[in-house]
Amino acid sequence: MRTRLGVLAILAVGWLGFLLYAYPGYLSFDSIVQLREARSGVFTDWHPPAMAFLWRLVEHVIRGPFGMLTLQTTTFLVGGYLLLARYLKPLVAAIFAVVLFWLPPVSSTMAVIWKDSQMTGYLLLGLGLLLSERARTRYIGLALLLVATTMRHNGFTFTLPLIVILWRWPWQGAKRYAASLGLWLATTLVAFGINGALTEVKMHPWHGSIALHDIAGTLRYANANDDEIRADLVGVPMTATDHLYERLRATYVPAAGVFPLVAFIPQPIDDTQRAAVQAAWKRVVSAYPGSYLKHRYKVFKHVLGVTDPHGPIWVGTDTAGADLYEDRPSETQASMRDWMLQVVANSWSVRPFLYMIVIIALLYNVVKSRDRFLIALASSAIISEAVLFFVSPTPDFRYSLWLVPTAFILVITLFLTRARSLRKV
Amino acid sequence: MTRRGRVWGAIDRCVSDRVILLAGWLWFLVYAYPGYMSYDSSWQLSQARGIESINEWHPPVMAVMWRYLDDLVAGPILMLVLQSSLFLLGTFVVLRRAISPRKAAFLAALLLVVPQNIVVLSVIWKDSQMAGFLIAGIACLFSQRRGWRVTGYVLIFLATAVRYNAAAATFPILVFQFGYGGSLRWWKRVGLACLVWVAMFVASQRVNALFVQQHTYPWPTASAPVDIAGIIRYSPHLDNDQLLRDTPGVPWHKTDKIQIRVRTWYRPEQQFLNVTQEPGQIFDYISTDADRAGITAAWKKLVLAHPLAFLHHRWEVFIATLDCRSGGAGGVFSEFLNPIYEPHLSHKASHSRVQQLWIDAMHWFDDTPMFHVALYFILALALLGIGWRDRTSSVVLLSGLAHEAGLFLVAPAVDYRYSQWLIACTLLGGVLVIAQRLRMRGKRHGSRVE
Repeated sequence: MRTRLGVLAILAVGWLGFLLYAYPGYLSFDSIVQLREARSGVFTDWHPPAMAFLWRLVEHVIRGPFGMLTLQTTTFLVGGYLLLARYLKPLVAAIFAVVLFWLPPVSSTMAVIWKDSQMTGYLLLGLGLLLSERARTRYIGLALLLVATTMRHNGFTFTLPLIVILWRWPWQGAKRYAASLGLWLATTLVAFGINGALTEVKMHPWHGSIALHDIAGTLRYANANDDEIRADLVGVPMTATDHLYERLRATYVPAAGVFPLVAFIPQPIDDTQRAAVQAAWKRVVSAYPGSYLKHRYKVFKHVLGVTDPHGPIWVGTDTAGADLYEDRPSETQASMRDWMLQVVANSWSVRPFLYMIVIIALLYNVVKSRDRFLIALASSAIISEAVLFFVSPTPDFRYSLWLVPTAFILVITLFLTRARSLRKV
Repeated sequence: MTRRGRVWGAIDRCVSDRVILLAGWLWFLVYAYPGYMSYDSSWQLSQARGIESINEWHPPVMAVMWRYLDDLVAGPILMLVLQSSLFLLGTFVVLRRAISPRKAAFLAALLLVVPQNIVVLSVIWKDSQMAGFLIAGIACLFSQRRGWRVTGYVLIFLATAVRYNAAAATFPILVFQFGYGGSLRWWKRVGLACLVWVAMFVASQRVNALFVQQHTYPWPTASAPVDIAGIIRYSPHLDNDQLLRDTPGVPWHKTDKIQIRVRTWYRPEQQFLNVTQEPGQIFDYISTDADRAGITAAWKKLVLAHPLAFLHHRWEVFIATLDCRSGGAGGVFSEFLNPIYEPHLSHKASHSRVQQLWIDAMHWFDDTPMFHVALYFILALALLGIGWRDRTSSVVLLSGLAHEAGLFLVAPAVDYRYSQWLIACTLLGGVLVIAQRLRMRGKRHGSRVE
């Protein structure tokens, strides 16, 4: 009883301490868009509408960002604790869960109401419950993983190893994995179904973002001449008809996504233009696969933060939401924000490739440990990050947030397992 | 065990007193989040942030407390957390003296969210702060541990400091609880308690005075003019010229037919703005030292010259206070910020759907007996008569009654929140008295009733 109270106290203090920095939750431009959708009830698919729908429900009780902040952070904290408590004593696990939560790259991201933060919270708690001995709790865990999948378009890449490796069946071997794969597929389809059913206005995010960027990047590295570009981009809207390659070079920036590019190739606005963009993408990628890979590699380097950190810290409320919420930080909060922006934002702690290196470095030990949970966790992080090679629209630290708790948990658990085995010897 | 039994067993294990308290508090937050702010609250936050100088219109200790909390988390939320959690935990500990922890937790949560309490505790007012400090202070003073009792005195001191008239509420608490269970004889104990009470009151005034950066003179500006109008209203015929001669320095708005004008416009539920603004303006706004000196001298002279008229006026104000039937001065209060302060305080909030539905429901109760202060005053007296042997309920009820009685002399206006402490004490005292009666009946029947 005392231990339980101690755990609760540590987690509560950890959460309240975090609120000093994050209360009532920060809102970037994306968050504002989703909040507006939540309030209007008209959902688009630019961001997965499940999050806006959830926000709408939460706003029935608590208006503003605080309800969502509470959801994403408490699930993260409790999930982190449950996972660490598998290897550590409860009080120690609670302390480490708070340490993980307070890590600047984690706390700075979890403070913002983003689909990434929501997904990470549900993933951690879902994973913690999925490992329970009780069947009913495992089902709740699975439901949370389903919610996590609905939060991001690429959410299913995170859950693939988690469900396939960790879901318990009465069978063993190939039958078990086949059934798990079926379960993951079902979860993914349900998640897509939910988002599809909620979508009222289709925005075609792939056509308006990744496809255009890919086309421009591929043609840029293919050194295509104007005639080739003209032939490849038949039907694609363009703001100019001459000096096409030069314009491509000027507007294509691997780290900036589609934003500067739309000055030259505007986003498609009707089905005909979208069909043209889709056809152009297929043509360009199949004609210049090497250039496509080079472009994606350039983008991915920025995603991993190899050259410099990208979009690591967001604080306050975007000016687009000035009518929804007025950002007025307390003295304490203002100084914490300054520290985050001046120190953490330029530090190595917000460069995803470092966490990736840690995870890959520990991979041998993870496999050797034959611990299903650690294997699933490491696989989830590597697969989800690797998929960003193809699907990341822009580099942003939050896309890689899952690497941080994964690396932290792997380091703690493997280090302790090693220390214990050494002690036994 | 049957499946149903197992389910109930699981629920029984999960729903502990702590869980009930937490759920009750979260439910309270659904109504109150992030805390409502009236003009008074907005003004105090403005002082807390240093936008305006701290003045003594409201006790500065509250603005200073708010300053530190606002430094941690900007806005009203931490003040709301402070007042509501103190009230909830204090009520729980007091109730636990009479009933089982789980029932105490349930009733404490219920007392936090009942309309009579939540309409005040959801707003950042000195009244709500005082209620939180007082009930938590009472709970601590019942403890056997010295550390908790010291905490209790600190809380009682803070309650005294956040409201000028809180001393009326703390008097019975200190007289009953100071040195209780010790070896001192009762008269020594009561004597010492009175000394502690006086010391606390004086110290709280001094501490408040320390933080004042700009004087606003609330008594000569707000209370005294209303009293003077009241005395003139209930005095026998006053010769206008004599009245003017007796009140040199008073900034009369018009100097002819003063008593006729006062008798036309005076209402006991009025506040100072009613007598310093049209249409019923009697005085010009009290703004200079000469005005204040004139008002102070006139108050003394008129009170001494017409003591019955003064008492009659105060009695009418007190009756108007008891006759209050609305959950707030202008109905149940649910504004997040006073519009005047919107440009300065950078605080924007709006009601959630559930919150709005709840507020609408509260408006439905407005002007019903639920908020009728007189009912609680009578009920508190009756409960005191029934349960006077029980120390806990007696302390609570006497504190509420004493605070209300104190309004006879000092109420500057009529507002539900001034009487909220009486109502909170009556509801809590009612639960304690019922628990006591049930216990006694159980004993008579040879069984213990929780």
